Amino acid sequence: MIQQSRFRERMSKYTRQEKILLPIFHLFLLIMVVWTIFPVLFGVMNSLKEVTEYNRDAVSFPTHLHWENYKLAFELEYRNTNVLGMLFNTVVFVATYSVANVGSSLMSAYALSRFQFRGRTFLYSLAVTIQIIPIFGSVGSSYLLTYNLGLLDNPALMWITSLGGFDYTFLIIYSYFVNVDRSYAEAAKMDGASNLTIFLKIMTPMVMPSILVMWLSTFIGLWNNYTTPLIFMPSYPTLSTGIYNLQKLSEQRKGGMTAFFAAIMISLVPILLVFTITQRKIFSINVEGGVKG
Amino acid sequence: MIKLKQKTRDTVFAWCLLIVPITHFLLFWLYVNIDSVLLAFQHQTTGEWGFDNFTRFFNQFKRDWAANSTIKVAIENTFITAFLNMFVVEPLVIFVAYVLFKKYFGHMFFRVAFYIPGIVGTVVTTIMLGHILDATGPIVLWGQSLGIEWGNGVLQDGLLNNSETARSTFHITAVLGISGQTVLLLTGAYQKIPTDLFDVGRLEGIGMFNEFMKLIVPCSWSTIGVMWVMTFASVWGNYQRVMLLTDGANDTNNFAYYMFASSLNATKGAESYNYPAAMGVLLTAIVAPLTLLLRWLSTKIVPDVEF
Repeated sequence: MIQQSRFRERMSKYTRQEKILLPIFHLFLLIMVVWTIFPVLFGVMNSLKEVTEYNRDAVSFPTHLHWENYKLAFELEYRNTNVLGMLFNTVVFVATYSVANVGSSLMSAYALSRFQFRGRTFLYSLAVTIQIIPIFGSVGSSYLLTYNLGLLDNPALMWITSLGGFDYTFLIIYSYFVNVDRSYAEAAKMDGASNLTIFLKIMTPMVMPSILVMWLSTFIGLWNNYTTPLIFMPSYPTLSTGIYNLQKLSEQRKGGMTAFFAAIMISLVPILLVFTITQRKIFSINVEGGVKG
Repeated sequence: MIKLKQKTRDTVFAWCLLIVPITHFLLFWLYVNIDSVLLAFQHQTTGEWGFDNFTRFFNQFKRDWAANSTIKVAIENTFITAFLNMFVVEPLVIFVAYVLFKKYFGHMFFRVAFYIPGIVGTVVTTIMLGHILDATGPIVLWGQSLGIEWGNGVLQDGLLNNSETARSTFHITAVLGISGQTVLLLTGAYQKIPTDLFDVGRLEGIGMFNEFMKLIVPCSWSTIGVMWVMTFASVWGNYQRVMLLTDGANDTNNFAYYMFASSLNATKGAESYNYPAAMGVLLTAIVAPLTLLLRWLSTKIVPDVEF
């Protein structure tokens, strides 16, 4: 009864048009969601089947849960690197790249938002322009440059290539710095604090939520990036690169496709955990910061 | 000891912070792009300056056009994708964001659900999609049980490995994959519209359609316009779906993947760096001005609104 009255109360808020259209919208959204999530469910389902069962019927639920596929998945190898090795490579790649990228963007965002100097407007316009104008076909040239600099296939140094400070991360952090109350920084300056102290101990903590969210966003993007490691670090396959390559090899290997599906699911665990813990923050920054032309 | 003026100290500090980003920009953006242009005009073996790479591309283009093969198909697919993304997917995203913005029943669930593919990543979702569209996958089997007569080709090879169905399947499945990130950004833009405007609209008795078309779209056009332009620009460089789903087989190749595959072959020594660089220069010369034109047009269609 209470539920019915709540439902009636909620429905009374809607217009007649909304009452007619809402079920259609919901059905439409549900179809889109099923299409969006189904690939993952399909993977989970088939990662628990026996190979013969998968070959016979890829659509039904598994008759028995074959968890041993997950054990076999850890034995899958690409370029002499097993799934655990790929996980290690991924963590190193993602950690170094994301810190370098966000750190560099933080520096440029602070410099351009806080100080008035000649060239400031030019640099800001440049940052916006290079994001709007698409430029194609520079993979070969990037490859040659990293090779000539000795960065190619060198995980200890390759992160240098991600020190770009004029990207989307820059724009978001910049917009936060512009809106930060400067009175604390001015007070600290009166007390004799240096520019570095103000930057690191006063201003940066004030935009820390946006930095963390941009770092998380970069982290997730890099976790799924397979082309950079594929081209620039071929000897250090990450999970994404490994999975891309393992697909072609799995049919002939021990465990077959079901172990491959299990490997895919293993690769998702860390990133889904990170997302679950941080989703509120990710959603808040995306909703707060719309892109404006 | 010379004591610097505060203004000078600030400027020196600002430039110190900018050293790393600017050096990176000069080296990994400016140098790389200039070098790419130079490579495009150099002969692959002799290193002489000229238009050999462009000539090679246009000859290949003419041959493929006549034979209705690789480059022609790749260009056609790129145009189809651009059209679908700009005029089907993007409006769909704008509308889905509106429904979520209205906070109807289940909006939180849909918000998270649409975001999940972005977390799971293109590699996983696309590889799994390939298996779903396989001959033994659910789409073929469920289609059969609904009475669809697929034909022997599909029943043997699946929807993406069959020359008759691969191309249409490739494009149809692309339309259904909307970006949760874009939906979220648009929802954020809608939330910036003053609530008074919605109240006035409600008092005037405007319905959902009018609220969407006459309030939401014009008031958040600056965001929608930028996304629309970015969608157009990104289509020309998007090779990942082709690479992961079909490797360009069965007439599913697009121009970005044709170019990327050439670059990848170059890193393996199977192709020169000059040929893909020339294609990149050509594509940039066409797409960059078009992008700027679209951006200009988008600002002219609906005047910018500030709240």
